[in-house]
Amino acid sequence: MDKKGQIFDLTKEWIVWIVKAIVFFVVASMIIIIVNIPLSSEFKTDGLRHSLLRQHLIYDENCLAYNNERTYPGIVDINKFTLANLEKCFSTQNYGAQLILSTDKSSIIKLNEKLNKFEFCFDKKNFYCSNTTYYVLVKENDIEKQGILNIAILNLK
Amino acid sequence: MKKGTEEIMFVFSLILISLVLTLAFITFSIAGRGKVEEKVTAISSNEININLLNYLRTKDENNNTLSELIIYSYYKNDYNKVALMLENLIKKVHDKEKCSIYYLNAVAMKNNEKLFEVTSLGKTNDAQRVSTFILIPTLDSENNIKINYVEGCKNE
Repeated sequence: MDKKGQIFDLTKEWIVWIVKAIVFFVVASMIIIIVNIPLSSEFKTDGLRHSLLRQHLIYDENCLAYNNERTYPGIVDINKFTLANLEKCFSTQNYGAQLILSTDKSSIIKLNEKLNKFEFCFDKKNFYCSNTTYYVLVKENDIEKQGILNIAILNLK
Repeated sequence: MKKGTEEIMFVFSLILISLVLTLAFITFSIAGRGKVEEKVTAISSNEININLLNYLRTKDENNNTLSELIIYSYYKNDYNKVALMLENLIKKVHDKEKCSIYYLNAVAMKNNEKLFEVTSLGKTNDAQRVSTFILIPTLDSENNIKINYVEGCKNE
């Protein structure tokens, strides 16, 4: 066989190998994609954790819930709406919270202020934030007032 | 091996390497994009439950709660006043920015008859609807009044 014929044969062989390689990599890619889909699913539980923390604040008699022989979830005892009391009940260092209670006046309490020094949740890239507003009844000296309680919680992503 | 053959093999091996790298890049970029994020928000209904509970606890000018007024209206078979009070209350205190949709209705459980409803006209495509209910007992032990409440809020 002359030199040209050898080169032609070799080229033909390589083209066959390239086709085989492409088929191999297509199959391998499919396998990797299929295996990777369930592996890359991620459970985001930040929302659930924030929800639990908010409910802890509202339902727990040691936090905001009014208590008179029994606990009334959703009725806020105004005497419990203090920084000292809420710091005791919200004893986590990983979450920051801002509570705004509006009746005929408005009061704000910030918890774990090192996490929310500036405007609350200004940095949405690095923090996961949630913000929920509740219609509450506020117990103040045996008088029940209508109020709005806004609870915003954040944590580092 | 002859010099010419070596050169051709070298060229083909370069082509092969670039092909492998391209396929690997495509594979991993597609797999990366296919990442599934599951958000767990299973207990949202507990949160709007507080709103419904407090709507029904709210007192009128005669110191009657709205749940008492619903029972009173049930025996009088006239729900206009209580429906209007609930509508005004929800309009006043509801978080319209985040939750533009709300729907409240009262159903007599014995015959599944709808007694009254209060609803918003808000619409949003990106809404997560959460529902809850509370049962109000009547003198007829078989017939409770079921208050259903739905909020449609923007996804966070």
